[in-house]
Parts: sequence; C-alpha cells; structure tokens
Amino acid sequence: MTKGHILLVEDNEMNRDMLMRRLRKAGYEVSCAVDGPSGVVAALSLRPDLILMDVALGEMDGWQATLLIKANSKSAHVPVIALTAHALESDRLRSLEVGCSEFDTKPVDLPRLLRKIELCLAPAAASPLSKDH
Amino acid sequence: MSFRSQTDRFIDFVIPMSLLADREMRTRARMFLFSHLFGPFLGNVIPLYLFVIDPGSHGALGVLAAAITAFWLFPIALRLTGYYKLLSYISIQNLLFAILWGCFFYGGISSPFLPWLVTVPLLAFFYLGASQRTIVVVLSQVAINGIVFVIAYRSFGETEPRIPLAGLQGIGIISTMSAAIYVSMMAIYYARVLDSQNELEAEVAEHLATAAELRAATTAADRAGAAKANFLAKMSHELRTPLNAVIGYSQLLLEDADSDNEPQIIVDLDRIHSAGNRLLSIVNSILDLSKIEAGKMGVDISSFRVGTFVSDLAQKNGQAARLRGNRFEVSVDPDVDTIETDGLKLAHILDALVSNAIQYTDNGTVSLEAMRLPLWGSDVVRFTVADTGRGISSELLPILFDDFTRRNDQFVTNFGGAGLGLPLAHRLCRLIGATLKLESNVGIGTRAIVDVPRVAAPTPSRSDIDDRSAAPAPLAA
Repeated sequence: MTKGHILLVEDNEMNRDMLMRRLRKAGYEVSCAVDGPSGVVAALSLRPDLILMDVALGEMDGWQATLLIKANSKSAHVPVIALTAHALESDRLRSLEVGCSEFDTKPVDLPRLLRKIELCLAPAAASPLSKDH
Repeated sequence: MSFRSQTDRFIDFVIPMSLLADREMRTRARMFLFSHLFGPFLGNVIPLYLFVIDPGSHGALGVLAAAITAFWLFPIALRLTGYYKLLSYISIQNLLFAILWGCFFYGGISSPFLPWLVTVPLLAFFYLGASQRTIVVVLSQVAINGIVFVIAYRSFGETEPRIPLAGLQGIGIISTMSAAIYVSMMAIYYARVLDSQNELEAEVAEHLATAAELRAATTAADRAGAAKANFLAKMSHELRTPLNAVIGYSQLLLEDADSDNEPQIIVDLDRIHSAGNRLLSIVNSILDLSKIEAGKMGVDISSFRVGTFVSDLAQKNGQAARLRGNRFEVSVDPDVDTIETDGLKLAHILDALVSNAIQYTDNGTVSLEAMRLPLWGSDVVRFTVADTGRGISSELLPILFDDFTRRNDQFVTNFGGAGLGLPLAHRLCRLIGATLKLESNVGIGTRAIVDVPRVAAPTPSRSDIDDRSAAPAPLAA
C-alpha cells in the first residue's frame, strides 16, 4: 500500500536515481520525467498525488513547467514542491508566484523533504498550504 | 635653449593658425618667415659696402636699404592679416625692385647685382610652391619689372659710372657671395624643416603601430581570459558531477545501512561521505578563487530580509556547533530590516566565518549578530561572528587572508585544512563592497566583523577585484 504517487521532474540522472530510490524506500510510488515538457505531459496523464519539480531543468525551467501545470484545470490541484540548489528569498517568492505549495533546497535533506511531502499530501482541509494562495 | 630652437619656436609662433594646419603650407610659411627674418641681414651688407666706397649717393642707397629693411615688415603683416599669398607676391615684387634699383645706379644691365635675380624664382618656389599659376605669375612679374627697368635705364640711366670698374668688381664679389650665402641658408633651413617633419611623421607612425600592437595584445589577453573562464566552467562541471555521485550515493547507502543496522558499514560509508563533502568544499573554493582571479565572478544583487537570512544560516550551522558542545547564539537588531546585496556571496562569507568559529571552539559559545550602523556616511549592516575559542596569534592574523606561501608548519599544525575559506571570504567581501576585519586574542576568542552596505554600491572595477593587498579596505563607491 503506497503512501502516494509522486512525479519527480529532474534532468540530472544521478539525482533522479538517488531521490527516486529514497522515496520508494520511504513508501511512495515514484514516476520520473526528465525535462519540463515531459513533466507537464506526465502531470496530465499520470495524475500524481504530488509533484517534485527541479527548478534548473534546461530549456523550459521548473518555474515555467509549474505554471503550465497549474494553468491546466486537470492538473492544477496537484501540489508542487520546488527543488532548488539555492535558498534565496527570491527563489521562495518565485515559487509562490508560480503556484508551488512548498519549496526545498538541494542537496536534499531527506527527513525534511519527507516532512514537507507529508504535509502537502495531508487532506486539503488540514493543510495550511492550500490553493488559496 | 639653443639659438636654432629659439628661432624655430619664434618662427612657429609667428605663423598664423590658418597656415599651421596643412603640412605643405606650414613648410612654406616657415620658409617665408625664415627668409624675411634673416634676408635683410645679408641684403643690407650691400648698401653698407656701397656707402663705404661711394659716400656720395645717400639718396639711392637710402632707398635700397629701406627696401631691404622693409622685408622685416612682412612677418608682422602676415601675423596680423594672414594674407599669405598676397604678401608673398608683394615680397617678390619688393625684392625685384631692390635688385633692379641697385642695378639702375650701379652698372645697369651689366650690374654685379644681377646675380641676385637668381634668388627670385627660388624664393617664389619656397613661398608659393611650383604650380603652373605661380610660375606664370612670377615669370610675368620678372618680365614686367625687367622691361620697366630697361626702359627706365635707357631713358634716365647715368652714362657715367658712379664708381670705377675695380669698385664694381668688389661689389660683384660681395653681391654674389651674399646671394650664395642667402640661397644656401634657405636650402639648409628647408632641408631641416623637411627632416623634422619626417621625424615627426615617423614618430606618429610608430605610435600608431604601438597602439595597434596594444590593441592586438588586449584582444589576445581577452581571448585568453575567455578561454580560461571556459576551462574553469568545464572543469567545474567535470569535477562536481563525480563528486556529487560520491556524496549522493554514499548518503543513500548510509540510509540503507542505517535501517539495516550495520554499524561497521555505517562507519565506513560515513567516512566516504565526509571525505566527499570535504573534497567538494575545497573544489568549490578553488573554482571560486580562480573565477574571481580571472575577473569572471559576477555579482547578483537582490533585496532580502536580514532576519530570515540569519535564521537560515543558524539552522544550517546549529547542529555542527552543538556537536562540539558549543552554544550557538543569534541576534538581529530590530532596526535591521532588509539589505540589498548578493545574498549567495554574503551567505558564503558568513558560513565560512561561522564554520571557522565552530571548528576552533569547544564547549564554548559561537554567536552571530546583525546590527545597523551609520558608517561612511551611509547605511551599513554589521555582521559579527564571535567565538570563545582558541584564538589566533597576532603574527598569524595578517597572513590569513592571503599569502599561502608564508604558511609554515606551525600554521598548518595549528589550523590544518586547505585554509581557503578566509581568502575566499575576503575576496567575496571585496566583490560585494563589504569589509572584513578579524580581531583575536589567544585563549580568549575571535571576532570577525563584516560590514556590508545596506544598499548595493555600483559594481567594482576589475582592478579592485584583482587587488591582492592583505589588509581589507572599503571600496570607493
């Protein structure tokens, strides 16, 4: 019985592999997308419970992909956690702007990330980070 | 100054501005002035000599001397009016008059003064150049004057010679000599003017060549700099990718071993993981230092709240502090609100200072404080990282920021490690317009003070980034 289905959008192969294995070990079902466009497609077709979006993706960056996901009514309800290498306040603001529910830094601190995932997956009523942002 | 250069200066001073611009006009004007300044000296020898041997002819000699002396008026007239061509023609006319006047009274068409006519076309060439028009005008002048002279002589000329033949011979010698000297003087001066002009032109050509070489060298240097920056960027990626693999997968295996409870494997993997982190930190420092040295480190300014910034830093370092039994205190003054600077670099600087403080303190206190100061006539945020650790001796303090070569064994024993943190922090401070000061007492503790302008100053110039002086100093805005 999985705790939920997570879509991981990350272009770096090793990062993808490491995070995927850790999430699976933690009890989640994990699907992967290797860039922005395929991430958007996967969000629509797979209907995951949560999306982990790496911000530095390549031609279409994570912010843009998130905007597209949130713009589509079929995927807008899925919480997105932005993953970024830097902890700048500007990154935080940007992630809120594009509609992310949360924000975390790389290298990944697994317990912290798992806590944030749990918070986001909690029933909408209880979650302090609802779509009303 | 020599007589030569004095005359040169005087001549150049008298030339009107309009003639100075063109090279050829400049040469001609110089010849004109030289001729008119020194000609009368030679010319007046003749009436003087005549006065000696024929004291009776005051009138005629007076006119001759007057005409010759009149040449001194021409430079003045040129300076005042600038009518160069007109004055040249008048001058030639005056010369023809003087020569023919002399001939009229002494010898007529076989006068010993006739050789002086030779100077007329020469002077015309020097003053006016050898264009067809000039040649035609000057020849016409000579012809008309000649015809007038012949008519006048035939009509009014004296049949009796004023002085005996022997006397005429004397006049002839003096006349020819003075003409020869005059012509030689003009030729020499002309040659010198041309030479100095050629010299000047050669110098200018040399300067232009040097300038072109410098441009080429700068382009080459820029290209080399760009190549270096590309190399660094590539190396950066090549180094970080395998390091991330080492760090990441050892972490992954650690997590697995943790849950499977394999203590020995955990210890081994922990070592790999720590070594990987250590290596990554050194690689990052080296790459950053190289980037700064190559002048390729940019500055990314943004505004952010100091309170959030400091608490993030505290969170990152708190655990490390507690591991060594240290208390970690953080305080932010209420009137420090936001700051506008490169957040990443500031974080890097303070991280380095805080981790140094933690590393050299056991069971003590490490504090990070932020306050607002009105320094340098503007707003400054002062970050103070203080510790109650080992302290640094006064002889080691000055070499901490730079001078890797002066670090001896004692230093390495005391501090160990690659020691890149402070040099990098120091350079980063420079880049964001901040200053970094260290105060320390052995056995008591250390204080690192970073003063950052609250509002970002304009980007520092390349020379500021490259400056390696040991003592940190505020950048001029």
